[in-house]
Amino acid sequence: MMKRFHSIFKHEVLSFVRAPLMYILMILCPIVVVGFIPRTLGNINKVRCAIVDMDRSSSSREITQIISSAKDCLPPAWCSSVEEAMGLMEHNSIAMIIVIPEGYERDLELGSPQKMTFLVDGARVLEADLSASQMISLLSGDDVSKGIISHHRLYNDEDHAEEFYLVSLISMSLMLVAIFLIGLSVIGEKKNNTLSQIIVTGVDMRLYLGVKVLFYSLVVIIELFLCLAVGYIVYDMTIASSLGQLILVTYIFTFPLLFIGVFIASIARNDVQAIHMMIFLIIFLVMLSSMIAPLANMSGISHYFCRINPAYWLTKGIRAVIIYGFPLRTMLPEFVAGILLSVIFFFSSIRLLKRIS
Amino acid sequence: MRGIWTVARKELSHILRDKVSGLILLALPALFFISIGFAISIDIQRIDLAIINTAGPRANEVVNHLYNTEKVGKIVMLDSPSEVEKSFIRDGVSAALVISEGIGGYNAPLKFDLFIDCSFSANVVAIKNHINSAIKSSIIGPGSDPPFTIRYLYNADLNRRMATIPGVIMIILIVVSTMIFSISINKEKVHGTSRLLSLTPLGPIRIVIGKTIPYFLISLIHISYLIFLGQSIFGLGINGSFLLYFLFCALFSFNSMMLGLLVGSYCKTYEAALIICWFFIFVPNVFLSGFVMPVNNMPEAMQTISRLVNGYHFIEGYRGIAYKGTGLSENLPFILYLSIQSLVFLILALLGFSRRYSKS
Repeated sequence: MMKRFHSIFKHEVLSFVRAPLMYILMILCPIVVVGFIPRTLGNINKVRCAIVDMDRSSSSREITQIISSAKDCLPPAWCSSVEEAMGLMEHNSIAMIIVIPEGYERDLELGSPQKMTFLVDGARVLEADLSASQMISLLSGDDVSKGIISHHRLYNDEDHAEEFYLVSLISMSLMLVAIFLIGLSVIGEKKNNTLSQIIVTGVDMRLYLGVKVLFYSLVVIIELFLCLAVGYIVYDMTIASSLGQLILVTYIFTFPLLFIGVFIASIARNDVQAIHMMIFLIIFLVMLSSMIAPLANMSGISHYFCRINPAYWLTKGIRAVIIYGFPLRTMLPEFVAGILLSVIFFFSSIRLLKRIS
Repeated sequence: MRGIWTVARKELSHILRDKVSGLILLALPALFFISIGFAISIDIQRIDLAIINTAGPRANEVVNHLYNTEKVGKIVMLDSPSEVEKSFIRDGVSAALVISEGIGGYNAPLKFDLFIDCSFSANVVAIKNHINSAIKSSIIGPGSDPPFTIRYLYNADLNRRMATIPGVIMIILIVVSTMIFSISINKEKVHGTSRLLSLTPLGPIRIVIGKTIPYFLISLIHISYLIFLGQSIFGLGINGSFLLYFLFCALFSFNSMMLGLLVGSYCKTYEAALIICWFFIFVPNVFLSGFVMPVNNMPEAMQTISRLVNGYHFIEGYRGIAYKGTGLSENLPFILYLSIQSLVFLILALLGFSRRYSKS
């Protein structure tokens, strides 16, 4: 048994090592994806606005002063007319125009001030939404709640988007390595007919697939270390919980993904079909895994899809360990679901592969 | 011309012969468009909230008000503030509110401590504003009329699907035109049929054109039904010229195909082509094109890099034509950039293709 295990493992190592491009890319990908992409993500909550002050009074100056000195606003552009500001918006230099109407101070003293107008670029919905919310928060005044409501920011003091996406990109790298590598390996075996040859040697299919999955789970862990090294060097990333927990969570949630790769390779009739299936499945898994937007931003039924998505479990687990620092026992239901899913895919793949071989 | 048509027919029969692949290629993008279009939203859909009420019955009114607040989804009542952090992962809440008696005893106003999960920074302001206004209105009743009016230009009702749809269309076109097409180019090499093709008198240019035609036609089918689905399901009409919109999408599709051709002509294996397409084309396009994060909010040096990505030009042009109703002159920079980039990719790909054919 141990001898067979050793032979299959050696076969996997050799076939992996003989493709140097694979490990060059395995090293290069964390550097490009984890090292570079989060660097590009800035502070999403900064408002780019232009001010059209038609009143030019002390009250309007007070408002413009608040906007100019707010830490959530980039220095505003000063325009003499709405048309001039619209020109800036059309060239995408600003996302919002604040118009203070003529006679604002006079009407304010009379007790019925004209309303200011916020013209927001609705074509850029994300920026429009955030800019409007920031400006409401800035100008609506918080007198009632002052001293009564206190806000505490958890897990991201500097308001940077990179922390969220850094974890997403680590998770995405691991998921891709898991599904693609093992899937392509099984497809290769099927195409070259080596699978049939291995079976006639008397090797049990369960042992064969088990060792294959074990080998690629170790490859995923190596990829995790590469991602962590890049994260630490480039972003000074720290793990809120412990490295042991991170390895454990990655290891457990990698298995369902590996088995999905094996399953796709088993049901596909040829290599091209398998690749087509993998590409679309991975995009679905990525989009519904809280890598792009958290669960709270997803609507209705997609919540249920998320909860049965192993990529979501992996992302949630990695996020829990790196950002939140929570004990993993809080994810016990996902662990159980992950093991169940792995077992289902494992035995389905074996049946399919046996039938084909 | 006859040679080109023969290669195109061969490629088309390859696609259609494999029914599963054909179905994936033609039907799955529609399913993807509808499901992802519905699923992903740029704004917070529901705020799950944990509440720790240490002020007793006095705070019941506020808690009841929060239960009835729009966007507040699940409310988890916790016993002590020490459970707050655990609740973020265990219950998946976005914020936790600790209600306590203020300094000064029973008659003092209630004190509210709002703990917000800021890991996804785009949601922070919305969570803060929603919970603040709910607390305020429960304490003092509906507030007075705000001193401003907000008008959303080009999107009067602020249809939030407008944020995600250009990105989803970009992803579909990249997947079909770059990833699947590069695999198709690579397939000839892997299966050894490139040797056979090199023996024919067609030459690399005609082979490339012949292989491009079926995938380009499939992209045009996708563009057509994405327009229809966008309009019928998400209510997203096209404010600008329909012809310009269609041609612009077709240009982006062609650009993506040339990128796929480049990858397919230089990579020797499926694995290499797939990984390059994924990590060096798909991921940068998702994150740097303005789909996930506004490009103007990125650090300045990175904005320059973002502008090299073809997806950025597609999304900017798409927003201009479809939402703002801009014409050819306003979108000329994007059209020119995509055209020149396509030409460069084509020349580089043909160089790689010719080299490979001369070798085989």
